[in-house]
Amino acid sequence: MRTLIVEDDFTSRLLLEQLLREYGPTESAANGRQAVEAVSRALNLRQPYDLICIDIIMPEMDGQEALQEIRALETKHGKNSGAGAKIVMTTVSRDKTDIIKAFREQCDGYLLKPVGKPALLDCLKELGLPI
Amino acid sequence: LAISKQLTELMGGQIGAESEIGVGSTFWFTIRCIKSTIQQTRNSAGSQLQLENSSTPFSLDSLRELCIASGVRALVAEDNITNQKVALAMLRKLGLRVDAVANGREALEALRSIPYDLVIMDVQMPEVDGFEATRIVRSVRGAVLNPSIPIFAMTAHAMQGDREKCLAAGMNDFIAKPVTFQALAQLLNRWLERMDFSTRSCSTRPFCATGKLEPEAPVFALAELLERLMGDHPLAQTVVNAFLLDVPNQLRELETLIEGHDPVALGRLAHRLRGAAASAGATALAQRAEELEHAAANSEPAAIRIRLRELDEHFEAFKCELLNSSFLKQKGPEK
Repeated sequence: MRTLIVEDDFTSRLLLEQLLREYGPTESAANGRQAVEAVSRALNLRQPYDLICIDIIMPEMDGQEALQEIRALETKHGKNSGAGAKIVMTTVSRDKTDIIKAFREQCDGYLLKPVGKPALLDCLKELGLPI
Repeated sequence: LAISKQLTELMGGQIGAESEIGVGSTFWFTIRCIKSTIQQTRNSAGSQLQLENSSTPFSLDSLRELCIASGVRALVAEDNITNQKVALAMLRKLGLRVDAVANGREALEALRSIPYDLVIMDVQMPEVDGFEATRIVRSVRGAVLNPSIPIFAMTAHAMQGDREKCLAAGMNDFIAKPVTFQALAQLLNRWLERMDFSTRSCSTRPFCATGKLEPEAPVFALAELLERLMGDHPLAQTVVNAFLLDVPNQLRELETLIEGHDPVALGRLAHRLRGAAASAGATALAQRAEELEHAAANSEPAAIRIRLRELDEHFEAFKCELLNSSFLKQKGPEK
């Protein structure tokens, strides 16, 4: 399972990297723009990510905008809905409107921060990822 | 004499004169007064003497204990930086948690978002002076958290007229400048014993005597952190170490942004710090970061500065707690 972690906070990013690395290679990006670049690179190399964990509030490009662009890139590469990466939004906010918006931009699940291992594993299982 | 007669009669008294030619005259009057409960100050030296003589004796230690145990939180509004520092130092010594602002406008801002227990305010300040600020606090348009918060004036000219002006503006008491430690202690002792601290919210929890925090939210929620990581102690150590390394940078960045007056960027950084603190189990710090985020969202410069200083303090408390625990040294059980 190839994972991209998109998170501007160093501590939270490290935590996710550590939790996910036993299931396969992980890469990280610190904002939405870097995430879109990483996804584009991976698609061009035909090594797409299976899972993208993305924070919603980030500098430069936020998670929601990045989500849209990532899905657009995938469509361009012939990966229509369902065939792309599983995208899990991470958020510290319990604000439902953010979560609903993210689902509208086609994310597949969400995790409340601070992310815990049990919740992460449940989420990945639910998405049918190989863990 | 006619005027004096009217005045004394209005005050429930009598007036009279006894005169003997070649010897002298005695003019006298009586009036009825109610003994004052508020110790008014004439000048700093005089006030101390008066207070020492008239108020019930109290120990500084017990006052300090009360302040610490109740987590008394004060706001000092004073534009003179030296006086401000002196007042802060004295109040801290008395066990209070204190913040400072430089004028009435900032005081109002802080009172709208932070639940203080009392305010000590200079009467002469730029922008909004102490009288005006007090009037606004007491009015509906002030929209402060507690419109009846005790406000004590600091005034350099403790003239009769000034005192009346303070009380008329809605201030509760006053202290003469230069403020002395003893006079300040007397003032607080007088007021704190009447105040009820039993129903306070968690955001005003105190620092304990050693300077460590005693908030309801734990400084370091180790059990919760380990539970989240399914007992992976080394991972918990890795995450906490990363956090300890990264936070000083984040605090510096926040500091820089305050100078730049960019509340949007500030809010985003506060949000990032909140996420970091939550990830590392620094629950109380995460709470403070969230408050900074709100202050930034509402564009409240005074509150922002206070919240940022709190963050500094909370990070120190977090480090303190870690150093005092064996968490970072300990080799946890193998997972």
